[in-house]
Amino acid sequence: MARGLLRIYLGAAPGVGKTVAMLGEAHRRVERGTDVVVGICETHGRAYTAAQIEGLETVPLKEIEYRGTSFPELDLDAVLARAPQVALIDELAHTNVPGSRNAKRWEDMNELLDAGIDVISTVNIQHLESLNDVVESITGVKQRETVPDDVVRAADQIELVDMTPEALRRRMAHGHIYPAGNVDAALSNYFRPGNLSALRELALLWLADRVDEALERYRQDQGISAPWPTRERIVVALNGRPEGETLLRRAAQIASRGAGGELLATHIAQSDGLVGSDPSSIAAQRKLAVELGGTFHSVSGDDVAHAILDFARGVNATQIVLGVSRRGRLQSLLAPGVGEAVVAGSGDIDVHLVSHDYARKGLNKAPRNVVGMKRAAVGWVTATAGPALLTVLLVATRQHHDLPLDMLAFLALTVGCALVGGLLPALFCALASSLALNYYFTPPIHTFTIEDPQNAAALIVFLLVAASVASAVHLSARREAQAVAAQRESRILLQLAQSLLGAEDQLPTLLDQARDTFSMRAAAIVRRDSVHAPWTILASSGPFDLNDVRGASVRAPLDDMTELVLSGPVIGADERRLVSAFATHASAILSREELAREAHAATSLAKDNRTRTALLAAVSHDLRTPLAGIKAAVSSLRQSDITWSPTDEADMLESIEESADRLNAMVGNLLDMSRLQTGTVSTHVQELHLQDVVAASVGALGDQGIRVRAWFPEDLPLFRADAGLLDRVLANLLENALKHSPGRQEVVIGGSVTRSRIQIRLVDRGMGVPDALKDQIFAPFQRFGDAPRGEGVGLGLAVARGLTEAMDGTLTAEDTPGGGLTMVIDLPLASPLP
Amino acid sequence: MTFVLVVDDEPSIVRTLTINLRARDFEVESAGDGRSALQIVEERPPDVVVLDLGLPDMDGVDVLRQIRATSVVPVIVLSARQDSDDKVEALDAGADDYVTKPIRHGRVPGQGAGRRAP
Repeated sequence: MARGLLRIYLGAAPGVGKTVAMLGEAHRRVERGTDVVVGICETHGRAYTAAQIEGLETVPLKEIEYRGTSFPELDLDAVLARAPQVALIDELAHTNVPGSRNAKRWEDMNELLDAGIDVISTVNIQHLESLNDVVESITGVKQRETVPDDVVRAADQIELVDMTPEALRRRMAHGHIYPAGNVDAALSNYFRPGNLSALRELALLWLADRVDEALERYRQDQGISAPWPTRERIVVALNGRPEGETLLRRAAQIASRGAGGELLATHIAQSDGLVGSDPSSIAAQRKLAVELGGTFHSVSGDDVAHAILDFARGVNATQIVLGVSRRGRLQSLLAPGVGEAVVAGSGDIDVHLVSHDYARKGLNKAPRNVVGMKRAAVGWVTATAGPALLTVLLVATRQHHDLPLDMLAFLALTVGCALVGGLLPALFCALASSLALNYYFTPPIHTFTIEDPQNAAALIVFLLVAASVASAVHLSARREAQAVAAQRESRILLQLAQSLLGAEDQLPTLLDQARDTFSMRAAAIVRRDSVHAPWTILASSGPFDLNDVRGASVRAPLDDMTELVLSGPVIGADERRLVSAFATHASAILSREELAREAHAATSLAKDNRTRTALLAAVSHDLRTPLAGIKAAVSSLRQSDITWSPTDEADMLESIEESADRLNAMVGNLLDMSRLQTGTVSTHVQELHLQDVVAASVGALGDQGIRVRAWFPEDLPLFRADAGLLDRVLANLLENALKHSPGRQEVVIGGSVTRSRIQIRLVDRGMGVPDALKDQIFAPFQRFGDAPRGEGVGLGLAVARGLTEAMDGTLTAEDTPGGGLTMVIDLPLASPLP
Repeated sequence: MTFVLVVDDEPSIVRTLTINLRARDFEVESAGDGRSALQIVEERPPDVVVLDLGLPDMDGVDVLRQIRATSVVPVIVLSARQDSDDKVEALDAGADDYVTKPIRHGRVPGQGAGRRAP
């Protein structure tokens, strides 16, 4: 019998509407005349869902006894006996009660499928086994009920039931998901927007992955190996030279032409060294690639064309963008360039050869004297003196040998010359040797004429062999020198990047590193406002003086007004390239620092202004309210026309005391606020347990304390905060929550943890705050609804947030499900959970 | 006995006013927000209302307008708002007097009202 088809509705969270979608499909199928039964459907007490079941045939559930309680479960045998065309099986991840035939509901479902019954089912993304850890790290909740990925993957159709986190939270707040009474702090924690967004993304990713899989399977089935042009993927090959920028921009244009084109910049590093490539221009091109919306990749390979094609095939590229060769026409004739090789091997990938300013201008000349001045000098001495001495020696011993040995001796001398002094001395030596051989050793001796044509040919062969051996030796020496330099360069840059990563103060670290690398006495970054203005030091390392700038051995500009200055020994030309990489890094650090400073200044300036205006309003109005209470009581007590009873007197004195206390608290908050704004809050962070903190804060509330209920697990891990500051935060938040809770309503303090953070939640059931105002309530002197209150200068929440942030935490407001406001304090755990 | 309703969310003010008024043989009831004030006005019409403008649930002027929709009871506004705009608005809405906090000696509201009350 053919196995039944499986269709699954996948949701990111409870309440997105999977079951309703499943029931809707059932209704549609019934209308079309299909035989559909409801095997099991969890309504979770949702009236709307329950209403959707009506009109569908339902197989009664089986009651299974377990420890004296009966649990309704899917009656698998009844469904099998009924043998419908389609069965609805809700909540695939459900664990059956012990005593059922299968441990898991998905196993029940498999039996139905095996019996040829089509199944429509639902599952939530957090129940997928492979995502269990991820979900736990996002939500802090371990999922006990899981379903193997394969079961879901094997479905013939999967439909994502999607809903935005905002809409879902609205549904939840309206009691559409759980009855309002059942919504507690823990549940609201799970449904916080961050969680929901993450879960939703996870669901989308998982599904996208499966779509890729399906596409792959289809391609295999159909024997399609050519790239599948679902969208343009453009690989642009960079060699680290300046023309890369032109190529990148051109490729970005091509990518933007099609819908959703993708740009992949690839730098091909040859493994024999970074010939001609400049670290700073690679860094700039990396930045540009990212700015253009692409990604940057590094690939190494000796055969550049091969490396490009391999990479392009690996990423399923549809187009490759290359620069037109820099090689001249003659060079191109001798060997095909990278472009030609790529075109030849590209198959069905389109190749664009892009022209640029550097085309046919030739490669950067590699440094000539790869062997160093001293060796070159020795080489030249050998090249001039060597043939002469050898000639004298061979002439003196002429009777003992003939021409072949003479030639070999001169050849050996030429090779030695190439080894010591490089190409030019060796070529000179070869020429001198051939002349000496001709004059002294080929008959007729002492003339430049050669009698025997064989000898003439031998001499020509000698010259060719000597020249080619010399050039081979020279080439290998050059390669080696380049490889060593490249290796050193990349090691230094890696070191620099690593030390900058961990450094708090990046500029001094960079300068230290520059001093070490180039063995400099001192290094500094200097800046001046104009060409004639004096320099000022932004950062320095070592004994640096402004007078050193003029005589510095290296000056590398960061921008028009800023320079990296190194004073010490003179450095070689190849090291200058490294210096410019350091300069690029320094300039990036500087601009980052400047941006951060500007942003900070702008916000604090704006804040200052707002605060000053608000402070005036607050002092003129809010501080006056408790003063009014004091004044009224005092002037009453001073009235002579009435004799107060002792109770009245005591009452009014108490009134005075209370108002004075509140004034004191307000002034305290004002002081905290000003300390926060001037950045002079000092924190003494220690490891705390939530229970201790809450006990202290609730104790300080006095009579009101009985309205606060702590509701969190006792085994919460330790977290890091300043006990005194956190107490002030909680006091402000509790006062606010109690004030806004109608009647004697309780305020609940909850706590939960994710991997590295703790969330302390203060839940009230007051009127709540509309979303648009949720962030505004934390601004100093702001109060929701423009309803001036007797208490607080509208500073309580601002101070609470400021103090929380001073402890490396955050304070945010969200809706209490079912109505009210929940304040969430998020602080770091003492040590992350394993 | 003259029945005074004190509407203020500031407990110390309410307490002091209550003590003062009771000492002068007024009967006093208090409300901490606009909604309960309106409820009391409806259930047991007071002879005088002392009304604060800054209430937690609604603006005092709105409370005043709602009282005026059904009643001519004397209303004395007691507020920390000192701007003339606020005073004009409250008086336009039907306030009989406007007293600013803090209250000076001898101007405890209710004294005058007591004399004006029928």
